[in-house]
Amino acid sequence: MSAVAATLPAIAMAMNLCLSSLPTGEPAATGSVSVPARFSLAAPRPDSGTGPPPAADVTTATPLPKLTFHPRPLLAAAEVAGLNLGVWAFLHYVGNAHYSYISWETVRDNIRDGWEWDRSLYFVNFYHHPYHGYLYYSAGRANGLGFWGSSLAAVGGSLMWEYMMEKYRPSINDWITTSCGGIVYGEIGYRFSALVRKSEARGLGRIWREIVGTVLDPVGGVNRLLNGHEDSDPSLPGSPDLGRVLGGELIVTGPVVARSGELTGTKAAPTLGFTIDYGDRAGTGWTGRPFDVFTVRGRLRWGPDRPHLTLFIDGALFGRKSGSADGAQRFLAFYQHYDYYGFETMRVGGTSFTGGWDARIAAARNVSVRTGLRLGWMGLGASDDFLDVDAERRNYNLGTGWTASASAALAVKGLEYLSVMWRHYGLYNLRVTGSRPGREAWDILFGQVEVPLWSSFGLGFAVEYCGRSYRFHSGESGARRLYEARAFLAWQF
Amino acid sequence: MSTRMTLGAAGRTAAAALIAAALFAAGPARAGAAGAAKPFSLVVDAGYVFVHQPGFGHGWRYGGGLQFRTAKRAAFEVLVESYGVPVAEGAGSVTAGGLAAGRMDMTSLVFNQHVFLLTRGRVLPYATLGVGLAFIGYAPDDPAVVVEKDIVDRFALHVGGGIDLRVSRRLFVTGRLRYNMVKTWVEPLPREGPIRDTDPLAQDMMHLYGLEFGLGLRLAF
Repeated sequence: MSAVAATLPAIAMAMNLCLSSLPTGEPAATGSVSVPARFSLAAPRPDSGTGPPPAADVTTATPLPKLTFHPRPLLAAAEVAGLNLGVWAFLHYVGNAHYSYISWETVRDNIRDGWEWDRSLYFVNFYHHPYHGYLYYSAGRANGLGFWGSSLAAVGGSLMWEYMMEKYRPSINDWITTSCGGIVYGEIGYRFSALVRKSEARGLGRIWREIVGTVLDPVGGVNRLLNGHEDSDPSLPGSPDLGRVLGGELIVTGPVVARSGELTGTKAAPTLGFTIDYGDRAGTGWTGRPFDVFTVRGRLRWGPDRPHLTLFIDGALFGRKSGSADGAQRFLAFYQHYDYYGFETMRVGGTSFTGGWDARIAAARNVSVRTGLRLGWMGLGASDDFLDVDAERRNYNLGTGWTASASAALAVKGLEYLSVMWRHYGLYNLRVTGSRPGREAWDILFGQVEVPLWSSFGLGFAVEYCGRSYRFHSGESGARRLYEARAFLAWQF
Repeated sequence: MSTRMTLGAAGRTAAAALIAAALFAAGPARAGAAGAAKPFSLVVDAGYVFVHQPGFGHGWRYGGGLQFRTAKRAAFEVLVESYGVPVAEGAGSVTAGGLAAGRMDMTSLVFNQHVFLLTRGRVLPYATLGVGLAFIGYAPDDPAVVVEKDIVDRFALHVGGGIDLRVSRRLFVTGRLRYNMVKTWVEPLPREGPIRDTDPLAQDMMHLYGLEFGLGLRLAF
């Protein structure tokens, strides 16, 4: 939980900090549909009536500073290796972990014997490992590498760990999850850190910006501490993305009502949730760099039995935006996803790649509709197993398959009054150790209504449904369903 | 005999020329210049090691390697070093009865990262953090004893520091102190499967932590 506890507050803090770090002068909308206020800090609030048009295409209105990278790939590689050695030393000398007893023989045997499927805990494999990859990626970014170079750092760092730093055979699923999840987490952390850090800040302002920036971009933070004199070096995380539109929502809810006849009955638990849009899903702000546009949806629920985490992250790798005379804005893109969905006893997640299309249409004056569609491949996913659980099984199946999602939202004067989302995973479970071969279909439906109370605060009501049908090769088949309803207090920004 | 004497003279001449070149070809030492003028260095050193595991003694060590200056204050070093220490009867394992009296030889391939605390002047202190692949050998003193146990090879952390004393732009006298932190155990022979199948936490763990002293030369080029 420590990694979760470290990450969520950092993201929440980043949202806060960005309020003060982003420029307040808004570029004028030019011929395109107004981006709802929740996508711009400078946009009018729902109760403000008239006001300046919200931020639109920042690429045309506010020229971004030209980024001049000075990549230091050897230093990045050295830091990746140093991270691995540091983690290993901690595990070996402080934790006395049995798998940390390595030698040239274990390395030789690992190279000779090749890949296997790791059966560590679901949370370890699908949350901790991406965080480890996050550090590798951060090392790449901290040394001036771009998205793809830093991705290579994540892939290489994970490969080194799998072959050399544990006595066990290299794990193919760990490698994929660490690399792909690390790239997603790492780029997001880097982008947020760039929003938080300000080289011209001084005094206490500088201190807290650097601390939060270091939480978001750990290796970059350490490098900045050691090389403070290079503060103005544009290759280091600084503020290259100040022109980005950032918006989102933070919700707090009291007890929720969850019901399932097959599962746990009615439960109650407090929930903290957030949505952060970096860039605009409809493509404004897209400059052609991976993750110019991404969305993070997170939820942490305390109870009823233990904390449940949900993270949906998708970022555009390639894309093409377009607009039309009627003011509609469209964005066709190829996305990388990392999902970690936990809803009571039902968990599913993994790495996927999709093609997607988003659009924003002006339905009426001050009213816009946003729609989104995704379809693609879930490269490696996992779903919790609930049948015949014994000590050897690690409670989840590994699978591959396809994924799809659709979403729509209605915004009036910048506030999203209504939003709906559907997400589907069609998994073919692999016939590997600890996994139950077969087929699974997951459907997640989410709907939310929100009304403004005061300023950017609102009151909302949400319903959520998670259904899972399965047919395993061992003969078991069936379905599980879970429903939840919650009222919440929201802050949109 | 004559030929041997001739070759010996040639060898001495060559050695003297090399030393002279190292010491003086670059001119006198410039105390104010940064110590990182040359990126590569050859390092050789020798010294003594004390192993802190009961039953293991102390002995001579030697090593040599290549150092590469990666930044103004940082240098990366690949070093091969070796030492041997006596092993007392019964050392190494409580449950397995221990080793017979003999000798342990450890050869390590070490990757060190040096951080120089000072970069100007004649005295250049540095801290060292490294890792090493330790290849551990054991042989009983009595050749008649059948070897039924061995010490498992390990990957280990090295922590320490040292001082480079600048003699010329190219030549340094280097003094080192390093802690070689090997955690390993005695295994019965022959091994029945890959070492990864052995649970290390179920073994009588030995901390072959060696305190190593060394004095040597570093030749930059």
